[in-house]
Amino acid sequence: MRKSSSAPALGEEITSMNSQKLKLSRRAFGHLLAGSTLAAQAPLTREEELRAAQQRRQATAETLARFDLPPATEPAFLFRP
Amino acid sequence: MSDDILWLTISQLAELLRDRKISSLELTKASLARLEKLGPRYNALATLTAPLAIRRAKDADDNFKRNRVRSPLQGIPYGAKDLLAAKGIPTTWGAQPYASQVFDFDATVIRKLERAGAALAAKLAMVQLAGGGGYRYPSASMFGPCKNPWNPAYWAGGSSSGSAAAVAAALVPFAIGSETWGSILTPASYCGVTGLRPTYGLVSRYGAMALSWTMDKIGPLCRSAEDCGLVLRVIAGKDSQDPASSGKSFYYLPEYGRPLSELRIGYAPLDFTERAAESARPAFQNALGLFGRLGPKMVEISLPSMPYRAAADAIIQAEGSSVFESLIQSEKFDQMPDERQKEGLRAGLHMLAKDYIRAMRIRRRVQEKMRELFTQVDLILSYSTPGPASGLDEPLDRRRESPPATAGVENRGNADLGAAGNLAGLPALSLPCGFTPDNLPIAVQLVGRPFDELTLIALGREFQKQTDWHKKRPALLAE
Repeated sequence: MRKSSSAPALGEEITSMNSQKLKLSRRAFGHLLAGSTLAAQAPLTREEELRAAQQRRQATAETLARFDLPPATEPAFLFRP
Repeated sequence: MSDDILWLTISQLAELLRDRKISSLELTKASLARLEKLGPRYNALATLTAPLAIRRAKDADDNFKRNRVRSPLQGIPYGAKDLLAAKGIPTTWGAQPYASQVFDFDATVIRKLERAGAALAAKLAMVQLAGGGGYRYPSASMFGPCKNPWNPAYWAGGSSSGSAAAVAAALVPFAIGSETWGSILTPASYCGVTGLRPTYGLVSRYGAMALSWTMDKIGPLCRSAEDCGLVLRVIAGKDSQDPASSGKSFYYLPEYGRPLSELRIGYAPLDFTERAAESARPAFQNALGLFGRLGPKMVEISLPSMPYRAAADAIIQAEGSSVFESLIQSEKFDQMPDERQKEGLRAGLHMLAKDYIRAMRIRRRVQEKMRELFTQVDLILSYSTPGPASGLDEPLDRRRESPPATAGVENRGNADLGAAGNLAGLPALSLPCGFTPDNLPIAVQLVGRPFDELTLIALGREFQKQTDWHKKRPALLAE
């Protein structure tokens, strides 16, 4: 993980769009971007996997938060198609 | 008896059985022998249920002798995804921590099929916990990666892997799978079989492993659209033991389907060109052309821009991690392979209530938007998966399966139809539509209004009258 370089690390640069300061290794971030790359990568450690999963959860939450919802919209808890 | 019999459809088998040209015992023994021989080679078999199947077959033959025919499924062997409880038989949910789990009751679907006279021949392999948490490799199953009968170097798809592979390899005439998001349509597409995801609430989930209470559906994988209709007729219906049961039934009466010329099919041209894998485009475009020639009016439409995938992700992750909370916090959790999946489940325990509720609010909007869309069209046509099966060792989270979320509506086509359809609880039918140059199957999906399975199946049946993709047989491993 890059800590002191003035140039942003790959992950930092890209996720700045989400105003998120990541604490991921470059390798872990590579896996976060895995949906759009076919490059083979080394397996992640358990800790890296957990951080990546937490980051995916955070990214999902941010995507949901960006969607404009009328205040009166009720949740679909009583789900009927 | 020749194994050729196992390539027949349910309606063909039903006629032979009714006319006493074959017996259920012969048919069931042929299926059991094939399951035992080929099932393990594809990692498709969980448990062979031979004694039960033989008993049911004898009962069926007895009924045929008395001219008592309870349903077109009477005397026909089938397989069930290993997340459905069957009394006294292991139900592993595909996961090592549950390897010795045995229930003392039948899932409603199993009970209904028994009443209809079908013979449970096998429990079939699946991705562990139906993929909850998000797995990286096809090997995320206690049975190993399920191999594709069309090429064992490729995956059968998930999470109803064994159900699709078993039908594709003619181990059983039909099988039962389940879908929360893609688990019937994906393996059906990869294995070249016909799969039906029913409307949420039409088929009882009582006795099935829960992954997402508000998104789980159970449905058939078969040789044809018509067979899907025959199976759905039996398994659909009210069940007071499933709180989500709609109380509706399904009657397979294709003669009462709307004339094809009155139908409007919505599609996005982009799905059949840029959004599809290059190797699959010619077959997708042929299928699109054929649907147009069948008579319906073809209408260009695109799903409105909404965070379908994020909402589906959030709901499944929150509900799935809640379902498996005690497992996640136990030592047994480490018995499962696939670190990505395990950490995904662990992370789901920390999802915030506000995010889950927001996803459910967005879901309400998705339901409304889909309802509006279905005032313009009667069905939506897209690919089941953008391309063919992935390699057995290929990391699944590194496939380019969809356009980036930032792509505008005009650039996305209907790439999110899978997420949108599952969020809104809509029915879908996957129909084999051709092969890539590497001889791997591909398929299109039709999505319809809630409880309008009859229109899906009727159109699918017409499509299959004009094509023979669903009749193709793979060259199997040392058959």
